[in-house]
Amino acid sequence: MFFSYVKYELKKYFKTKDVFLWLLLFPVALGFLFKIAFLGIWEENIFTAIPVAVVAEAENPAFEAVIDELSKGEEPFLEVNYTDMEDAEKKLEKEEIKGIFLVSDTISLTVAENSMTSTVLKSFADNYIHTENTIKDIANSSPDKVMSAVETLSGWNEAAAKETILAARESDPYVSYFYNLITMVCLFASMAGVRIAVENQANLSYAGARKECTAMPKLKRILASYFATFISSTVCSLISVSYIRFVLGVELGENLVPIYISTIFGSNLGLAIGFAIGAIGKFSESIKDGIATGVSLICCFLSGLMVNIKGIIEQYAPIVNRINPASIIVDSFFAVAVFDDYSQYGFLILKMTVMSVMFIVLGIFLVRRKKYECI
Amino acid sequence: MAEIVVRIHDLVKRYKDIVAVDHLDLDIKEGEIFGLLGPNGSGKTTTIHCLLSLLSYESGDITIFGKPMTPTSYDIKKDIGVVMQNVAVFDQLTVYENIDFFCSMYVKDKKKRVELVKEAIEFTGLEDFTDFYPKKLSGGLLRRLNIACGIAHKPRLIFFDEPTVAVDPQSRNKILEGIIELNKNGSTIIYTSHYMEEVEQICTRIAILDGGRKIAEGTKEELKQIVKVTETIEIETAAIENSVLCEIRGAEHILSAEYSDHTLTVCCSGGSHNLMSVLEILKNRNVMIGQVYSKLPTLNDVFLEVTGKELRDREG
Repeated sequence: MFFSYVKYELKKYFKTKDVFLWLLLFPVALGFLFKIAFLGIWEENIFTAIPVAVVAEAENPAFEAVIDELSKGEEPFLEVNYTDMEDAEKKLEKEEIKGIFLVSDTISLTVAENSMTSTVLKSFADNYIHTENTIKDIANSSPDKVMSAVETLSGWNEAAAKETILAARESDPYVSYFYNLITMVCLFASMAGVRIAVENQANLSYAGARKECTAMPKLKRILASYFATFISSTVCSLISVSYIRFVLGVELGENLVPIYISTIFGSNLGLAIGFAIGAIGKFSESIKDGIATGVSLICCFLSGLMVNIKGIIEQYAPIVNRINPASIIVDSFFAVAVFDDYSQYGFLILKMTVMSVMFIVLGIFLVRRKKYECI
Repeated sequence: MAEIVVRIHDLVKRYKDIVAVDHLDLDIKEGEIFGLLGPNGSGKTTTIHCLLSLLSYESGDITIFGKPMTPTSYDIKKDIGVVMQNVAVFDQLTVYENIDFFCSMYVKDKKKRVELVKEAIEFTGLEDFTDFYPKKLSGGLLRRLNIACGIAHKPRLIFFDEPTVAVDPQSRNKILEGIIELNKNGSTIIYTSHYMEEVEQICTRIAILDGGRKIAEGTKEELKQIVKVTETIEIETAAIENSVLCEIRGAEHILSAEYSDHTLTVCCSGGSHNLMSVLEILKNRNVMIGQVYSKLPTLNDVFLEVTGKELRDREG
């Protein structure tokens, strides 16, 4: 009885157009747009030489050697213009160059805007300055080792610079939009959750009334519906993740398994939220769908899908980030993919599970009513 | 004596200030096709929903198969089939899958279910449409699918709530024949409708509801005795003198006699040879007659007499 029911619920689910629209086509389309909007720019900037100006107010042969090394080869990292500050500033204003390296007592960098290119240049400059300071310290404390240190500095070659680029890539702010996109797909499972409640209540649908007359216990029906819908929505979410990773080529993290696990738990959380929404009140399915969609979008907005608002919320109302399902799902991605913090990841997975159970129990409590005032 | 399958005692159901079912008492025996007849808003569907334990009610007792009916009476529900007024099938499943889906909520054994679904398909004449999706079916086929979903598990008691609404005459006839066959196969049927001719055609016993109250109950014959006019005679004639009309009116069992448009209309109450008596009077008075009609009362006459002729339009 249970598995036959699950089989037909799965068939129904995969033949419902809304599912494909919201859980497959929508993330595919939006992911593609994100790719064009963000990664297109990123790739262009990373894999073509970045035009910079070097204004030398003092001599720094080591820095010049590194700069020269990075502007050589088949795929140079930098396109260097040696010029004066006035000319460099004009070029920066006209966006002919992306940054100005001022070589004086130390190395300083001026960039025009906050972009992926500027992040990479800043990262490069910071690393160089840090290495140079280290050598200076060695020279002061252990003059005998200064030569080997200089060699180290001279070894600041293209490979090291590309390592810097990779490091910058790990903190790529655009990847967070893809994490948010996956999160949105997870929360859109809430619409399927609404359907579970609606199709099992006599006062909300004809099918619900018909099912209530059968010999299959209500709780069994709801659990079978939930199980089938969980499988279906999770499959859709995992397809979306795979599409983003393998078709769009977005680097979601070194280890994809925890990303998939987060997605599974996230989908369950979305489904549970939808089930609870579907169980509340006597509104029509379309109104409840609207509420579920609205809740999902608000949660995603607060977790930074549209604009990067999460930091501001963390500063002024951190509790929102703690309880926002979208933030919890996104944080779990960051915990493993960026911070490599598996204890935090485990805590967030546990949090998702507890929240899911709470919403499921709430939903069951609300639909537990045996008879209806009117149908 | 046949077992009482359904017993409703003193059932009261209100929707806020409106009394939808008013102290209703009903006993339905095994093997009956019991008709619940009533105008719109009379409480037919509400009564069915209370019987199925879908609706809460203010007071009263409902027993089915001798046991109190509750929402968790799954042992009772397994022997009940329901064909709702609104078609409740799934557009994403084919005809076969829809029937099997509903049947699976009653029957665990897959092999047995295959047989039952096949029989239900044959019974409703859907053999050529098993792979069709509901959206591709006509209104009549959709109703038949709705029936197949409700009866596939071979229930002992079947509720049909206005199953022939908006279907063509052929489909309606097929549905009504099917209901009679189900009854012959041993199922007790509860049938609600406001189509008099359907109820008259298939039901063995009928209750007429109005305003939530049971205002009449009995077999067709018993109900027809309720109406005053037991026979209406219409005779085409040439002009009739007033004295002839007076003589007819004065005869035994004659309630009224009127003449207009070359037709003499005589309403009778009781008696068994009224037509002969009237024809005798006309013959004696040398009145030339044309065609003669004699109409016995229909359920429609009973219905209109007991519920009144004013228009009804209330939800219920």
